[in-house]
Amino acid sequence: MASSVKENLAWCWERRNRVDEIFYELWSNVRPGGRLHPAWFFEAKGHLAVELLLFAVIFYLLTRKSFKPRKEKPLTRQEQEELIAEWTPEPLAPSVYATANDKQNLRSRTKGQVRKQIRYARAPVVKGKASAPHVQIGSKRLLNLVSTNFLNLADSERVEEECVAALDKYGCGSCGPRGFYGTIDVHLELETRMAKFLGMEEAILYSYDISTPASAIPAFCKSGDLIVADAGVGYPLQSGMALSRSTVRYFKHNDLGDLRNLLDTIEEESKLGKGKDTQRRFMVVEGVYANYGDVAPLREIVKLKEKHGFRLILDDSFALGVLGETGRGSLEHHDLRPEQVDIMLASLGHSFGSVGGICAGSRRVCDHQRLSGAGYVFSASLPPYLASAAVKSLDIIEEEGKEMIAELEAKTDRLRRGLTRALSRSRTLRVHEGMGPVIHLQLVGEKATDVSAVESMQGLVDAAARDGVFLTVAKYTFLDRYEGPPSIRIAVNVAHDEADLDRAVTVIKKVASKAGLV
Amino acid sequence: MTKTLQKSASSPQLNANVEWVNGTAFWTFYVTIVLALWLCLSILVPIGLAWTYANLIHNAVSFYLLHWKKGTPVYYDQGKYDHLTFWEQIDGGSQFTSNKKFFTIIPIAIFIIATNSSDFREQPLLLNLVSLLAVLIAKMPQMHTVRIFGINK
Repeated sequence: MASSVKENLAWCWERRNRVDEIFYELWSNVRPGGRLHPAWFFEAKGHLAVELLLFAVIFYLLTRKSFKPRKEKPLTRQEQEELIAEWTPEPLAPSVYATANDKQNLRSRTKGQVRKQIRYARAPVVKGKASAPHVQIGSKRLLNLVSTNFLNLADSERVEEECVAALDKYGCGSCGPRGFYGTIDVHLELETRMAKFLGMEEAILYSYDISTPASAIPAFCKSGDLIVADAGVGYPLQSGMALSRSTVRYFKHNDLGDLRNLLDTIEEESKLGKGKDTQRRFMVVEGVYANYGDVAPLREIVKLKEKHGFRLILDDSFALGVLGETGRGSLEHHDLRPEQVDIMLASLGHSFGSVGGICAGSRRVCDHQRLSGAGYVFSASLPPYLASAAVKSLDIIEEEGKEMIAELEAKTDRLRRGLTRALSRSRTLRVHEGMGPVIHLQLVGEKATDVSAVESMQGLVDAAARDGVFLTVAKYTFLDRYEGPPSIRIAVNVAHDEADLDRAVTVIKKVASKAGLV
Repeated sequence: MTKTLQKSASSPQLNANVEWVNGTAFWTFYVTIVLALWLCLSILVPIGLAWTYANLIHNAVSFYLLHWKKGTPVYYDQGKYDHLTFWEQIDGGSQFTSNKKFFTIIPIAIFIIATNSSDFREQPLLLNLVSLLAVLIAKMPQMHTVRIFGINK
C-alpha cells in the first residue's frame, strides 16, 4: 500500500516535471529575448505601428452603428428549388396507433407500412348523431357501444331544447376568455351547481375536458415538485403532469403494494436529504380508469396520502354521474368526504353529455386557478349553450339520477357478466375486471405482444360491425405512455335494451370464435 | 440616454444570463476588477510588468467566459441559448452595441498600457499581441455563431 502511494507520488512528480519542461520550452520561445521575440521589430519602432493600428480599431469601433446580424443568408433560387423538391409533407393530423406494442413495432417499420396502418385506423363515418344508442353507418343501423354517453343525456330531447333556448338567448360563442368578457350567467350557475352537487366549496369550469388537467395540474405542481401517479392514467393527466415539469414517479396500475413501496422509498430519500425541503407532493389517480375500466382503491389511497402528507388529484371523468347511488362519482362510491380529495377533475363530455371540464375543490384551490389555470385564463370560455346543457343534465341527474344509475349499473353488470361467461374458456380474450360502464375486452397471452395484435382486434371490430354491433379498438397516440394490452372498449348506454346487450354478447362471441380467439 | 435607448431596442426579451451586463454600474465594475487584478499582480511582480500579466490573465479568462462557454445556467431558458456563447447572447446578438464596444476596447487598452509600461526587453510582446488578437477576432461581427474549423462546436 505504502509503496504504491510512493510510486504514485513519484509518477506525479515526474509528470509535473515534464509539464514544466514543455511549459519552459514554450516560454523560452516567446520570452523577452527568446527565439520568437521580435527584437528587430521594436528597434525599428514597429510597436508604434501596432499601437496606431489599435487606435484605428478603437476609432472604427466607436464610429460603427449597432445592427442585428441576419440569422441566415438568403437561399439562392437553386437551393430553394432543391429544398422544395426534397420536401415531403407529413399528415396534418398525427396518425393514431392502437397500443404501445403497435407503436413500438411501427417505429421499426418502413414508411410504406406506416401509411398502411394509418388507412387501417381510419374511423367509419356515422350519419346523424354519433352518441345515440343506435347509429347509422352507411345503410346499416348498428348498436352503438362506442360512445361514452352513459346516461344518454347527449341524446336527450330535454337537453336539446335547453340548448336551443340558450342559443336563442346568448348566440353561439362566448366571445372571450372568462376573465375578458367571456363570463356569462350560465357559467356561474354551472360552477355553483356543480360545487353543490359534488359537496365541494367551489368549482371552476374549463372549456375543454382534455385541457382541464393540463391547466389545473401545472397551476399547482411546479418544477421540483413530486407527483406520484398510477401507471394507468390517461393521456390528459399525463400531459398535465408533463407540462407541470414536476418529477413524476409511477406506481403499477392499481397496485397498492407498489404504491406503499414507492412512498416508503420517497420517505427514505427525503430523510437522506435528497430533494427540496419545500417540495409539494401530489398523488394523481383516476376514479374509473378510462384505459382499463376499473376502479381505483380510493379509500386506501386516501389513507396513504394522509399518512405521507400528499395532496390528492383525482380525475373522476368516467365516474361522475355514473358511480355512487346519486351519481356523485368515486367519493360517494367509496363513502369518502369531499374534503378528502384536494383537487377533483371531471369531464362534462361523458355522462353529462356536454362539452367542457370541471375542477372542484376548496375555495383556495379554485380561486388560484382563476389567475393561474392556463386554459381558464387564455382560452375562450365554454359556449353558453353547452354550459346550459350541462346544467340541464345536472337537473336530470339530480331528479332521476338514482333510477337511471341503478338501471345503468344493472345493464352494465348484465353485459359484463354475459361477456365474461361467453369468453370464460378463451385464453386470449379477457374481460378486464372492474366496475362502471366502460368495459375493456383485452387481448392477453402471447398474441398480445404480436405485431398483428391490433389488426386482429380490428378484425373483430369489423366483423362485429357486419353483424350490427358498433365497437372500437382503444386507440393511443405515440405520445401516450399506455403500457397495457390492446383492447376493445365497450361503453354501455342506459338507453340500450337488455335484448340489445344480449345480442352484443352473442355477436362478440361469434366473431371471436370465428377468429379462433375463443 | 442613448445607451438605454439602444439597449431597449436591441434586447426585446430578457435573457437573465446576460441582462446584468446592461446594469448601470457594470462598466465601473469591470474596470475595477481589471485594476484590482493589476494591483494584486503588482505585489508579486514589478508594476509595469504586472500589466502584461494582467493582460494575459484577462484575455485568457475573458476568452473562456465570453467566447468558449455556451448556454445559460438558467433552467427556464429550456436550452434556448445552448448553442450561443455569452458574447453572442449579449444584447440579443446585436453587433457594435455600446456594451460590445466597451468589451472590445478594454483588452486593447490593457494591451497598450502593457506595452508602454515596461521595457520591451522585459515583456513577451508577441504573446501579449497573440492573446489580444485571439479575443479581438472572436469579437468580430463576422464571427457571430461561426466556429472556425468546428472548434468548440
